[in-house]
Formats: sequence, structure tokens, C-alpha cells
Amino acid sequence: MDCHGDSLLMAVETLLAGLASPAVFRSLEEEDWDRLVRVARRNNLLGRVACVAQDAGITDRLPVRIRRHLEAAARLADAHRRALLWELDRIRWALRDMDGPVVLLKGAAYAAEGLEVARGRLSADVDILVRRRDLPAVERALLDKGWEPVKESDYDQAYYRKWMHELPPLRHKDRGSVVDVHHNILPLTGRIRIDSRLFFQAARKSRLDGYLVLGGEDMVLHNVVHLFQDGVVTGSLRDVVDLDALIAHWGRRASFWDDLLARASQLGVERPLAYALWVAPRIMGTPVPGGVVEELERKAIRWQVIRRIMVGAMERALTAGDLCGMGPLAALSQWFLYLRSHWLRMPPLLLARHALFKSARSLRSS
Amino acid sequence: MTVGDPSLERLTFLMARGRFFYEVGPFRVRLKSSAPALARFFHSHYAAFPQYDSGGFADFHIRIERPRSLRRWIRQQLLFFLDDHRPFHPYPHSMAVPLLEWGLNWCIAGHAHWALLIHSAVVERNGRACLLIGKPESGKSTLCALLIHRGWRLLSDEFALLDPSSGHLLPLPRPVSLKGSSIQVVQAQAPGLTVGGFCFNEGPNEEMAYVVPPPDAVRRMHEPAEPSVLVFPRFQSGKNLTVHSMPPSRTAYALAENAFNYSILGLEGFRLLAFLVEKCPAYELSYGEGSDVLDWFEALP
Repeated sequence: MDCHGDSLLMAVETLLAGLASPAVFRSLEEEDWDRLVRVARRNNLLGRVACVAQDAGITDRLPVRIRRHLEAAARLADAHRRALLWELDRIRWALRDMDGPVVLLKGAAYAAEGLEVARGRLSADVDILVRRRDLPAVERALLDKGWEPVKESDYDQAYYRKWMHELPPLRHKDRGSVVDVHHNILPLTGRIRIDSRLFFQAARKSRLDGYLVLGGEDMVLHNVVHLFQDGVVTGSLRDVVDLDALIAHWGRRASFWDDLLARASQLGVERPLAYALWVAPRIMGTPVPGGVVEELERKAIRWQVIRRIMVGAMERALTAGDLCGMGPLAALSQWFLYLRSHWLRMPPLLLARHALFKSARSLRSS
Repeated sequence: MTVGDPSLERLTFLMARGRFFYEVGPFRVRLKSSAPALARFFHSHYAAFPQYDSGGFADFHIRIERPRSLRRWIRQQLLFFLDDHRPFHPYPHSMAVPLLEWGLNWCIAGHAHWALLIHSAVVERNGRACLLIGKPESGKSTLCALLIHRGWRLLSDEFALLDPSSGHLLPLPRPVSLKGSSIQVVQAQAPGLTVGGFCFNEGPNEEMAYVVPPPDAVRRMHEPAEPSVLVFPRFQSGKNLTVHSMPPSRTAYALAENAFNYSILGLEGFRLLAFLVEKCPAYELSYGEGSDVLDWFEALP
């Protein structure tokens, strides 16, 4: 329904424009809100819209039907935040006998630090980063205190342990909450290898007792790597919105951009950062000082044509709207980015083996 | 315009084209489907509800359609979509009506967090609303149907929607769903009600049907009511009526257990729960086939 490409594209664009400058929301008709609410919900951004509209004093003037959706989304996000903080409390309790550092990642870190980016954000899982040598102890402690493996099959278990940068996800048997325990932020098999010790060195104490959080630059780079390695899927638009808010927060520091470039170079993630700093200003108006992108490009991107393909594919895939499927170009773009993400994650032979096993299993189960 | 105004053929056309919007209580729904059973159901069970054929803001955009696989033709199935999200497994084609009604329940329970949502039937008389709270099989829908036959106003068969700003219950007078032997009970004891939309649920191996909401309930569906009594019914075949008054502590627990979004509402949820417990006496009712239970409701102040 509503499959007229133009109007849907407009809804995604209205969403992004409104998040960047809330005045946009002021002039919307009921029909615009109808599409906006659906597109925002689809992209996990309705809570964010609710907070932005509330701050701008727009909510109270909206028709009651629309206001209720925003109110509901804000409540849901608030409930998620409460549940997340309680979960962090329980994880700290479960890991109380462990000496090693526990670093909060993504939504958990944003909520713990009370960053602006956390407002209205729905976070399903808790992500934590520990040292690789601490993994067995962390897993034992969590299993001991009521968490259980989500992925039961031997193949999945082995796949995670051997190739991935995290344990197979663990779910608490009563609360149903999921924790992902990482020992790095990228898979072990990937083309870009990051020395995770660098993250621990730069981590600092969280406002939440007993935890660490990544440094500002690392927080931004983790978001960027996540966005560009995982392939663009539903929810990626939220990563761009997060990136915009993180840059707004950390960018206030005078040395931020110099530090960010130096760190990206040190971690070897200049390419994904270049893509991100191309896309975010274009689709969200994220302010990036002159010269930054040029410097990244000079260092990391050899072929202009590759940059153009990547940026084009990202933009199309991100703004596809996806209320009722998408146009062929957007679908192609998503497929391309999906393949690319797997290409980056694993060597070809391993990828082929993984794909073969997965498809054999899905054939059997159907 | 109401749902019953256009001919069934016209309604079928509008629904298939995604131009059918209807309003029930505080919700406006857009339904797109080519399933003939749905058009028939709406023409008979939602005839008095307001209808629009375009525009404005809809709370839920629902599609019910056949899969694009072989199952489109062989042992036909139906899929439920909210926008492009499909929350359930495919259903047999014959289950179009329950799929829609359950699907809408799912939409409301998962999204309408502006209100406290309690799993409850609600009926009203003289401005005083009575909540019939309980799990499926407690007999709350049957009781609800029999009470509206006795002149109580139907507020809702499935949800008590408590509006935090007013402390009032908002009506959502959708068709009352009946299962198995309760269909015959209602047909026999409440001949004034129209029961239709029959279908068969293979899982539990039982028939299903829906009571058409009385015209008065639909006409007054924007008229809230004050919560006054909380009843936790339990049907036990062959039993006479026994009534136990419930202490506030247990009532609060029972309410929280039957609320869909108590924890999501946080402090507000607790405040609303406390408001209900303080304001309304609560009773646990075991009852059998007799009419003594209906007399008990009549005797409520």
C-alpha cells in the first residue's frame, strides 16, 4: 500500500530533515504524519521523533491521534532505557568476581553516560566488550547466573567461537533480555583487523559504576564500522542518526576532528570513516569541517569510482523507505552492500562454506 | 458514511484497493484485503461503524493477503501485515476473520502505550463501568455477551483502555468473540443478539463466531465511562455462584498480571493501577451455567 515511490521517499526525507531541524515537523499535514510515523517506526526512530518534537514544543499542537503515537513511542523508549539500566545492574552483579575491564558498547554506553543520542532510542540487546582472555570466565559467570545460549546448534556455536568477534548471544531465562559479549568490534576473519587492546587503553570510567566506556572517537568509529560492515539493512538509518548525534556531542571538543582522523588511521578504519562522512552530511546535514573528508579520501580511497559506487549504494539503500518493498535500484543497492559486508567479514572460501551450510539447513527446515 | 452504507460489492472493491478506512473507538484502521470473508464480515459486523475511503491519519495500516508462493493456490493461506511487518505465521484461508481481529489486538497491545491496556471485557450501566478481567477460558466473553443482552452497554470485549489523563475507560466496541460451546449458550440465552462470522479453528478443534456490537454501543463509542467494579470471573461447569471480595494487595497483583503494558508505563502504570484498586471494589467470581451470576451483576449498585 502507498507504493508510490515518490511519496515514500519524501517520508524518509521528511524524517531525516525533521530530526536535523524540528521546525520541519511544524508544517506537516495529517497525511504527512501518517507516512512519517510508519517510516519512523519501521526504522526504530519513532521514539527519537517523539523526543525531538517534544523539545521543539510541537507535540501539544498535534491532533490527538498523532500525539498519542508519539507519546506511546516515548514511553516505550523510556521503558527500554529502564530495562537496559536494570540489565546492566544485573550483569555487573553476575560479573562481580571478575577483575578484567568490562566496556559498554553502543546503546548501553549511550544510556549509561546519559548522552543525548540515548534519548528516545530503543535498544534491544546489551553489548559489552571484554578482553579475549576473560571470555571463558565471563561466559561461565553469566551461564551460572541465569543466562542461556540463544543459538543452540553446534554449527552456530562453533561458527561464533571460531570466526566471530563475540560469543554466541546469551538470553536471560526469566527476563528474556539478550547480552552480546564481544572481545573485538569486528570479526576475526575480516579484512580490517583491529587490535582491541587499543580500545581498552583509551576506555574511560563510565558514569555507571563498575563499567568502562569507549573514548569519544572510538564511539564514533565503532558506529561507523558497524554501519559499513554489517550491510545496510532495516535499522541502519538509525545508525546514521546515532552518528549525527554522536558527532554533535563529541564534535564540541576543539581537538575532536584531529583526534578522530589520527585514531582512524591508527585503527585502520579510514575508509569506512570516509564513506560515513560523505553520507551523513548529505542525508542528514551533519556538520563536518572542510578538509576532513578530503584528507581521508587522499589517504584511504584510491579510486574515485569506488567511492561514487559506495556512496550511491548507501544513499539509495538507506532512504529506500521500505514500507512495502522498494524500487529495483534500492533493492540492488541493499543486495550489493549485503554481499560486500560478507566479503569484508570472511575470506571467500570460508564465506562459500558458510553460505552452503546455511542454505542446506534452511532447505532441510522448510 | 458507515461501513454498511455501500453495497457489499462496493465494500469488497474498496477493501481490495486499499481504500477502506474504518474507525473503532479511538482507533482508525486502514484495511486492505481481497479475502471475501473479510468484506462480508465487515458488512455484517461493522455496518454501523464510521467509514472513510481516503486520506488523513490512520493508526494502523493492515494488509491481509495470500502468499506469493504455491500456497497462493494449494491449501490457501493468508498473511497478516502491519505496514510491511509480518508478526504471525501464515493462517489457513478460512481464518481470515480471527486473523484480522487477533492481528488488531496485537497492533493495539504493542503500540497504544498512551493508555493502560488491561486484558478485560468492559460493560457499563448508569455510567458505571464493570471490568471482566481474566485469561481466555475464564468465560469473560460469554458473560459479556449475556450482560449486553440484558441491556448493559458494550465497551470492549478484549481491552480495558484506561486513559491516564481522565481516569476514564475508552470504549472499543468491537465484535465479541465466542468459542466452542459458548456460541450455543449465547444463541440460546441471548436471542436478541446477532451471532455470525462463523469459522473453524483447526488448532484447538473448535468453532468460532462473533456477536454483532449493538447499535447503541457503536453510537456511543466516543463516550467514556468511569471504572467502578473489578470482576475476576472463572467459569466452572456445574458450580453455583460463589463470590469472594478481593483484598487490594491481591487485586493489584492480578491487575498487573492482566495488563499488557503495565511495565512499559513505569511509574504512570503504577499510579493508574493504584487508582483502580482504590476506586473499585474487586470480586472473584466462580460461576456455572445458571443465571444466578447475571442476577448478581443486576444487583450491583
